[in-house]
Formats: sequence, structure tokens, C-alpha cells
Amino acid sequence: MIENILKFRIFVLFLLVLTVSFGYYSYKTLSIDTFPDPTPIQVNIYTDAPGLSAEEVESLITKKIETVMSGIKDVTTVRSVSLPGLSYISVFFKDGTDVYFARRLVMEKLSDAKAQIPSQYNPIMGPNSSGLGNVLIYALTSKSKSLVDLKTIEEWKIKPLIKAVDGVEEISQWGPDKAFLVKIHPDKLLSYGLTLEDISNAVEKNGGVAGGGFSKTNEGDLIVRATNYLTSIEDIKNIPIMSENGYFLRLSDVADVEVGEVPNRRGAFTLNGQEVQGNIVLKRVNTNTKDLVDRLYQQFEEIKKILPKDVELKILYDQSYLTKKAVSTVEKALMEGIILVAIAMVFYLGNLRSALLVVLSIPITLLMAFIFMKEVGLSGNLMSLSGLAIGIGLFADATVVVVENTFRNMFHNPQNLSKIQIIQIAVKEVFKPVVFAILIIIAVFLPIFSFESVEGKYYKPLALTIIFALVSSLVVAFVFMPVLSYYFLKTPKSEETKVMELINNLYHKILNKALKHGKIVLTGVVIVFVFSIWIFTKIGTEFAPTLNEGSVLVKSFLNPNVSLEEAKRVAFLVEETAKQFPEVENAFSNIGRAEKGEPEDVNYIETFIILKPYNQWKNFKRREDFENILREKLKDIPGVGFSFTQPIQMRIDELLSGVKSTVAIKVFGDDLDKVNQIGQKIEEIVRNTKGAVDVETEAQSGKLQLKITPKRDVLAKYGITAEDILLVFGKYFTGYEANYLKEGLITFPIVLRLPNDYINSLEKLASIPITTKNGYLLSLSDVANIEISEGFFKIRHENGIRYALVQSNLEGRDLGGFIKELKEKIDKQIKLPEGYFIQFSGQFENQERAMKKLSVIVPMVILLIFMLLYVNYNSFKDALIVILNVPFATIGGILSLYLSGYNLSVPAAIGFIAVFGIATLNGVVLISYIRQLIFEGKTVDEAINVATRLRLRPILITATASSLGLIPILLSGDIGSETQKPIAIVVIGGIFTSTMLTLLILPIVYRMFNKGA
Amino acid sequence: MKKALIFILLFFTVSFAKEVIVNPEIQKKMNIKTIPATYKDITLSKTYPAVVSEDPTLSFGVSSSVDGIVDTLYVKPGDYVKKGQVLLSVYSPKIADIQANIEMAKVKLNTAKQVFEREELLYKEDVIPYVRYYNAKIEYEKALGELNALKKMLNSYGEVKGNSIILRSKIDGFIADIKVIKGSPVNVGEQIMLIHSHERLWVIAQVPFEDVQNLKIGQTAFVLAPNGKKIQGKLTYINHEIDPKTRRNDVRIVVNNVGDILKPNLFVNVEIPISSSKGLVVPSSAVFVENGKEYCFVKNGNKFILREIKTSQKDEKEAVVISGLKEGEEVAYSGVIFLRSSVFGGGTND
Repeated sequence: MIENILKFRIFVLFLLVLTVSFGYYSYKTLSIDTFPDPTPIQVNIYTDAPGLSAEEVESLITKKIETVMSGIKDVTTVRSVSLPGLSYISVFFKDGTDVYFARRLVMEKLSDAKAQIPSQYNPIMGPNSSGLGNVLIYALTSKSKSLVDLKTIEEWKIKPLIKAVDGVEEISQWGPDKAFLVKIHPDKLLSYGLTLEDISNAVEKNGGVAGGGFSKTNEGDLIVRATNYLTSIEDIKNIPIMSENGYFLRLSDVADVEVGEVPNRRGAFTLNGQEVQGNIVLKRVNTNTKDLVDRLYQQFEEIKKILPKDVELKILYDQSYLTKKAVSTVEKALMEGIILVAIAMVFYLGNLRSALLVVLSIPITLLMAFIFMKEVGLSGNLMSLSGLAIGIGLFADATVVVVENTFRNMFHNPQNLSKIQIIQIAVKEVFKPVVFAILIIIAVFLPIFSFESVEGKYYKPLALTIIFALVSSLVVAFVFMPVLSYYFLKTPKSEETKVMELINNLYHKILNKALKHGKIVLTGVVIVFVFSIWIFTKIGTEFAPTLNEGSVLVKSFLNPNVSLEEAKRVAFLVEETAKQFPEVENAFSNIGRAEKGEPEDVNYIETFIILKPYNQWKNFKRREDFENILREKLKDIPGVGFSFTQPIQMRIDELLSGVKSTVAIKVFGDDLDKVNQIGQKIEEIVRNTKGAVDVETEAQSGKLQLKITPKRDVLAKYGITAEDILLVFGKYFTGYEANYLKEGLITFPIVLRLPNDYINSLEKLASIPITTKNGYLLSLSDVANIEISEGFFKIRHENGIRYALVQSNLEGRDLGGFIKELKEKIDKQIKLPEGYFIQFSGQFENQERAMKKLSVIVPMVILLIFMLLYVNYNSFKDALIVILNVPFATIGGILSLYLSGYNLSVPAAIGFIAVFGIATLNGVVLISYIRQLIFEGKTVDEAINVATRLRLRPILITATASSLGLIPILLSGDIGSETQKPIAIVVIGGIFTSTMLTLLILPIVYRMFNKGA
Repeated sequence: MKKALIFILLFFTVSFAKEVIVNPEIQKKMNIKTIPATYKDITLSKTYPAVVSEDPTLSFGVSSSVDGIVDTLYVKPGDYVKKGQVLLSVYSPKIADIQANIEMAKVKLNTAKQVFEREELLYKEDVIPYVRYYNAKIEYEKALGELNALKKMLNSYGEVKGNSIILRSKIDGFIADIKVIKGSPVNVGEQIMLIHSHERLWVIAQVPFEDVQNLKIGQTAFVLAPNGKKIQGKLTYINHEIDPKTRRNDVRIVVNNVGDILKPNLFVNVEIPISSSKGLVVPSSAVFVENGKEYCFVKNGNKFILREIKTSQKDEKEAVVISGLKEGEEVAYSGVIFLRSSVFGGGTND
């Protein structure tokens, strides 16, 4: 093989050029994303039920759809929220289900569900978007135009253009919709002896269009078109209501007709203390964010051309900045890593040429890895690129060994062999051990593929790219490097640098002393190991460090009875408070829900605070500090609860667990009141637990309701049906769209409604006239009881069971410990009635599942390493000695983790897995050589002496390369580095101790075990 | 157990912190406004739909006292007429007849007078006997009586000019209706025209039966005209029957139509004060109910202190506080929901 490679070296060179070019092409065209989308496969179903209370929505709509949906194949969970006027159901599917297939299944079942709910309510599927779906937010502002006008421009001019952009699933639009309001005065109706129905009939029947086919006349073949569009407000005012003796009554005689907004708006969008028309562009699942945002920006240029002059389109937020930052962070780490490794190579090898070869191997390996990624369809994102940054030193390993061995063999050339022969020998010598070593590392990463859910989505790409790159590094080392060595390397003048010699001598002095006091040293190591295990129990746990998004999201929770106007004041106040900081670029909020949006009401506000780039921060250095300052300032606002998170983090938290906070405690049970009471108690417990911030029990009850119950006996007397009365509310309270008005191509609804003073005054409400069949006029209070009572505001279900929700964020404490304390406290203080249970949810769920998996994976990795070693050495004893590196690495990993203050998270665990593999390599390099020397007939002591002397350099080179490659990540404070830091810390610490201990302890142990031999 | 106790204590202190401190700037931004509680007369009133109609006691029908033909019409429908203004003249043959008879009687009287004077002279001269003189005297007095009778008869038909009678308006008002034109025959007992005075009008309000009990005849009521004007009136009558169509009780309010704002058949609203008393008044929006108890927030510097109060009555606008509050104390009436939820939690279940 190697002979052929050297023989056809020109061909190999050509191949190299080809690989590099193709690799570069792949790198440039690789789709770039922020990070893997962790959102589970889900389909959302919205049902708008204007006017229905939460209880009615739950029983009439949610419960029925839910039951139908839970029967679908591969459905894991069905969650729902019932709010006044809205039912929102999320159907979660097993991982790996095709989302379009899932939507098909839901679509099929939706018709079943439709048949079971009242016919006027129409369930629709939500947009096919995900946690990373809110890609871009823009707002329309204008000095002269009203919000209603802006919304009309958005709806009819901008939306069609944006939806035409490939990858846009939906646009969530805030702001009032234009409508023509007909406010009927019941008093006037009473006087004319008219009923509300007379009015709605009149409006329905006056205005419309009919097509009459064709007419063949002398003028030609004509299309017959009968139109009676209502085209102006005058048209509406003049709609005839009643005629008598040639006189007729117009609509304007009994009602006020005015231009306004569609009633019952439950949301608003505010920017820097002012209401604007805001929109969120939702990305279709599996669309590349950066590409989409680029396309959107192009489209915005087009849109700006058609906008009226005084309307300004402001882009407030786009997610691609995060991608750019995260990717540039990784790219920077890669570049710096390569440079650092290069310096180390020169230092160790003392030879610029060989160092150059090693350094060259890294980009070639990366480019090859990009080819793999591109072909497999793996996008370049924070996680997959992290794999490359983390493994940068590892990828040089194979080349280091090959080049170093070639280099050494060139120096020791007693037979004066030709360059080709030397290279052949050198490559052959190391082929087996190098392949074996790389295989071990690949092997340790394999169990990561058994991760599920979020951790799977996050860390599988990382493991995959590392494996791609490791395989590539083998190809580079054994195909390209021999050829390149042939051209590049020259016979060196000296084998080792002066510095290396110094180190080697120093090392042997220490080693000899250690060998003498073997037992003491060993006991010391054991003590240190035990100590580190003890420290390990002190380390907190979490799922993963939070990714810094460069923006803050403040959630405000208000009393459920708050009005939109009052909510706006709070939003303005939060925005203004944030804007006091020069670091804040923009602050904008969305209140409640857009027309197609979240299951929220006006008592919930999300305020986005977009921060300027990191280097412009003056008043604070970390995002958390800013949050704390802001939290302190907002404390002065009475009656509002605040919670802090980040835009993407919140969406992901929400889509994973249906909750927008880190920790969620769900209290399940039948009785909503009881469930909420328990929730209250738990809230107090959480509040009094260290580390809890932004504690909030979701307001599920306490929504004041105006209850109208028809008096049945009275109804019977007058021959009125209950429906006649309910109709008054269903139609004229909520607003009834009786017809439409046409302005050019745009149609606006004509909404019939009672005047505001009727809707907002109990006394007036009681006097609403009701007509009986025999023409009697009654007032509402005659036929119905009217009372104010407290009702439910938000009813949540998970798999059909009701639950209350306590949410909390964490500050300065690890998640695992927090939950543990909380669980103990709740167990002690709260006695749950039968049929009630508590579940912890949120990020904690991920952590628990991942840690459970890791507790299997880590031992499996160790076992796997051991098996590989055993197969390789065919000696239980030697395999055992080499595997000692695992505890060696553990010591460093734990200590560095503890000292750095990081928690044990999934990335830290992956760091441990990686460092186990890398550390084992050190052992393999040393022990294999000792075994070889003994096989050649040397005594144990001689073998140890020679092996340690000759193998010091490769061990140090690989260890240094692996650690140095990680230093840039460790030092970086940029966006995206948070998630990689734990890996880097553990690997560096682990490599450090394992290298030191390999060099010192392994010889001692080996000698002890083989004393008899 | 001890822990639980502390916990319960903590729970109470947290949930029932009775004051909220809000700095002035935030107060302004959150639209938290206060108003002093004041003693004043408070009337609780309710509003009902009503229709304006004429006051029948202020209508005047014009008719002729004699059969005849309309000679001249001096007014048109809708004209405003003053008392005493001429409306029309009616030519009547009967009047002409009387006029002729009067002429005849005058001649007769004249003749009788001359006869009487000659006979008197002759009698004084003792030319003729007393009987003859006496007969002449009787003839004369008879003729005089006849003429006077005829004149009286003519006067009884009213103002007469020539052979026509002149009809004048007896009130200030509007010509509501004219049933005749020039030349139309008119008969006695037929109404020729109708004059209404709109100085005073009736407003008939439709009041639900259960509200009628609170009303008193003679009490004040207000008519809310569509132009926004409020006119005071007096409740004079409550119908003894319920209107079969509207199932409501008609109530009459008499108003002086100052400035001629109201017109018959106009739809208006009437505001009828139901009860009136003196008390400590705060805006209704200041008072809220929590756990069945009534509260409000009293401002003291930057502090808003929760105060349990009791109210006696409450309508859409105002509430009367009977205990828990002193006159002049500043009560928060806007943005109360924020203060409320900061004491009682975010609308949660406590």
C-alpha cells in the first residue's frame, strides 16, 4: 500500500490538490446555522373561539380535539392550553418522525375532531415552525398613518411578498385590523320596535355580488355582473332597515357607523415606549436561518420601494447575527488553535519543515471533514463546528506520529537507505498503533450516538464531525503525509532540540526517584484520586451552560384582569427602563397574542432587549449582571412579576416543556382550584429556596367573568329559547361580521356590535331588549341572571390531565442541587391528595434524562476502551495498566472543572469521554513500546528506561497539541464559546494529569506488575 | 413542625404586606392617580328610554261658531302664532242674514223713534190720548229691543267683520294642523285648525316595573336631549297599566321646553334620580373586592396603604364609603389593579 502511494506520488499530489479544492468548495457552500434545532417534532392546533370563556373552551373544544389527537400513531405527548377565546393544542411526535407526515396524520384526524366540536369553531394547524423559528422581527412605523392603516399595509402589501420568500412559514402580525363598526343602539331599536336580528339581516342582505353568466346582445357577448358592493361608509349608513308608507329607516338612524378596529384584540406590539405595528417572521422547519434572513433582507429592499412615503419599515431583530457570531467564534478558535499547535510543533521538533507538515495536516483534515459534512447533509453550526475546534489537536496526532517517526528514522539511518525506503519503514512501523489509537478515540465517541432528544440533537453532530475529522486525519497521515514528507523533509542535523534534551533529563531524574519510592507515590495518587472523587460530589450539575444570545428577554406577568391599555403602560415602562442603558440598542415588546400566535392574553408581555455588541458594554460586563441591574430597577413597579431569559432560549424552553422557564413544577390533578392551591404553596417553597429568581405561579384563575344565565322558567313563559339570548352575546357582544366593505381589492369586515357603554356597563347590559315571538319586548334582566364571578383564565392539560404551573429561573446555583433541595422540601411540607401528583419539568427534564444516559455511557466507554486494549495486547494485565489512564484523566478533569466553577453538564461529560480516549492513547504509546522492547529481549527496567526516553516527545507533542488546540476556546468570551468551555476545561485538565501520571505512574505500575518476569 | 410554622408566618407576611411603595415617576407612567374622598350629596340615578309628546292641556283647537265658508286664511301650517293673532275669516250667510235684519231693525227703530217722538209731542199738547202715546212708546222700545237682540246675536258669533267672522289664536303656539283651504265650507262643531304650545311638553319614559317602586310623583327628573342638553322636569304621573308591547311602565315627566330643544316624537333618555343622600364619596374604580371584603388604597407620600372599607352603595361612577376612610384622604382610583396584585398576588388564587 505505502509503496504504491510513494510510487504514484504525483497522482497523490494531484489527489491532494483535488481534495483541498473540493474541501474548500464544500466549506464555502456548507449550510450554516446557529445550532441544531432541538425542538421535538410537533404539530400545533389553534381554535379561535371568540367570546368563549376558558372553561367553555376547555370542555367544548380542547378536550375533544385532544382526545382525538392522542390516538395518533407515534404521538408521545399532547399538551394544551385553554384560554378565554382560544384553544391551543400541541401534539408531540416521537423523534425521527417526518414532520410533514406528522402534519398529514394530524390533518386526517382534524376532520374527526371538527365533527365533535360546535360547528362555528374551526380548528386549524399552526405554522410548521420550531423553537428557532422566530427568525426576524420587523415593525412598521409612521408619523401620519394610524395603526389600523399600517396593519392594512402589512396585511395586504407586505405579507404576500414576505410569504413568497422561500422558507417563510408564517408571519405573526400584531396591531389592530381595520373594520367598519356598526354600533347598534338598543334604545332606538326599542322605540322602532326592531330587533337586533332585523339589523343584522338588513346588513347581510344589502351588499354583495352575483355573477350572471353571459348575455349575447347586439353589443357583443357580455359578462353579466350584478354588483352591489358596499364601498364607502356612506353606503353602510344608508342601508335600509325598515320601510313604512314610503318612508324608510336607515342604518344610521339606529346605529353609529364608524371606522375602527375588529373588536376583542388581545395583543399589541410596542417599540421604545410607543405602540407600533410589529411582525415576527416564522421560519419553516429545516430551513437554513442565515440563507433565509439573507433572502428576507433582499425582499425588504423590494418592499421598501412600494411602501408609502411616510411609512418606515424597521428591522428590529434577526437571528442570523447569532449564527454569524457563533460561527466566527468557532472559526477564530480554529485559526488560533492551528497557530498554537504550530508553535508547539516547532518547539518540540525543532524543525521548521516537519512542524510545517504537521500544521498543514490540520487544515487538510478539516477540509476533508467538510466534504464529509456536506455529503452527509450536516449543517455547519455551533455544535458541529465545535467538534472541529475541540478536536483540533487530535487531528494532528496521526500526522505527528508519522512525521516524527519519519524524522527520527531519517536521523538514525545506519544502512543509508533511500528516502523512500525510510519513509516506508517509518510509516509501516507506526501504521498499526496509530490506526488503533484513532480507532479508540472514534470508539469513545460512538456511545454519544445513543443520546436522545435535545442532547442527541446537540451532541450527535459534534461527535459525528469529530469522527469525520479523525478518519480524515488518518487518510491525511497515511496517504498525503508520506508523499509530502518525501518532498519536504530533509535529514535533520540533530534528532532532538536542546530544550527537549533538558526536559528529558529532568523527567528521568524525577522518574528515577519515583521508581525508587513507587509505593509512596502510588499511595499518593490513590489519595488524590479519592479526593477528586469527593470533590466530584461537590460539583453542581446542569444540562448545559446557557448560550449567550446577546439579547435579553423580559417576561412580565400581570394580573389577568388587566386591560390592554394598562398592559401597554407596563411594556412602555420596561422598555424605557432598559433604554436608559447606553448598551441597549432597541427594546420592543409584544403583549398578549398576535392573530395566530401564542396562547397568551394581554396580561403577559415579552420585552426583547437587544444589546449592542459585547465590546461596547460599560455598565456591566456580563449579561447576567445586566439582568440583575434591570431586575433591581423593575422591582419598583408594583403588581407585576418579571422573569428574565433570552429570546431563543425561551422559545426552546417553551417548545420542549411547554414552559418558558428553566425550572417548571407541574401539579397535576382534576380539581383546578385544588391544583392551583397546591401550586401556591409550592411557589412559596420555591421562593424560599436559595438560587430561585423570577418565581411565578401562573395565574390560572382569578379572571373575573360576567356570567349570564338565562332564567329558564321565564323563557318558557314567553316562548323564547335560551339560544335567542345566547345569540345576543355570541353575536353582538363579541361583534358579528355581517358583511364586508370593498376598497379596491381589499375587503374589510363590517362588524355589528353593541355600543361600548352597553358592553362595559352592567346596568345598560341589563336593559338590552329581547323580543319574544309574539312581539313583546323584554329586557335582558327579565330573562337572565347577570352576575360577576371569578372564573378560570388559563387551563393547561398534559395528556389530558389538568395541571397548575410554578416556574422559576436560577441564579448562582446549579440546577441539579436546586431540584434536589426542592424535592426534599416539597416532600416534607406538602401532602398531596389522592390522584394528585407533581412533576418537575423544563431544562431539568433534559438534564435528568441526559445524566441517566451518561451514567450508562461512561462505564460503557471505559469498557469499550478496555476491550480494545485487550484485543490489541491480548493481555489482561497490560490492558488494565493502560486503562489506569482513565482515573488519571478523571483527576485532572474533576479538579479543573471544580476550580473553574463550571457545573457538571452534558458537554463536561463529553469532555470526560473525550479525555478518556486521549489519555488512553498516551498509555498505549508508552506501554506498546515497553512491550516491544521486552519482546526484543530487554529487561523490564531497561525497557522502561528506553521507552520513556524515546516516547517522551510523542507523548508530550500529542498532549500539548490536544490541549493547546483548546486554549482559544477557553480564553474566548465570545458568543457561542459558553457551550464548548466545559469540554475544553475537562479535556485540558484531564490531559494534563493523565500525561504527567502516564509518564510517572505507568512505569511504576508496570514494573510492579512485571517484577517476577 | 417549627419550619412549617416559620413558613406559614413568612407566607402571611409576604402575602399581606399592606402597603406598596411606588415612586412618583412610576406612578405617573403607570397612570396611578389619586383623588381625595369628599363629602357630598350623591344621587343615584338611572336612565331610561323615552319619547317626547305634546302636552294635551296646552293644545288649542280652532273652530267656527257658525256655518260658513272660509273667506281668508292668514296662516300656514307650522306658523308660530301669538295670542290674539288673526287666523282666518269665515263668511257666513247667517251673519249676513243677521246683518240684514239689523239694518231692517235699525230702520224700524228709526221709524218707531220718529213716531214715538211725534206722539210724545202730541200727547204733551194733549192732542192725543195717553193710550196712543203709550202704544208708540212700546213700539219704539220693541224696535230698540229687537235691534239690541240682533246685535247681541251677532256678537255671540265672535268677532265679526262685515259678513265674516274673524278667528284669532287664543294661545302662543304652532299651527299644527289646518283642515281647510280658502273657500272650504265650515260647519259648527268642526275643528278647522290645531295650535300647539311647545312651551311645555310631556316626556313618556318606559321604566321597567321593578324600578317604578323607587319613583315618586312630584320628584325631579332629567331629560337628556340628543344634542347633549339636560333639561329638568317633574315626574307627574305613573301609568296604572303596563304597556302590553314593551312590558314596561310608562312614566310621565313634564318639562318646560326652554329654548325649544325638545320636539314631539323625539326619542330621548330620561335620567331619574332614584335615591339621594349625603356621604363620603370615592370613584367606584377605587374600590375592589377581595375575599368578600372591600378595599381601597390610600396614598401617603409614596406609599399606598391598603385599607379595608365598607360601602353602602355603588354605581357605575361613584361609591359611598361608610367606614374605613376619612374625608380628604387620597384614594387611588386609576391603575389600582397594579397595587392590588402587588398585595394580593398576580390575580392568583388567594
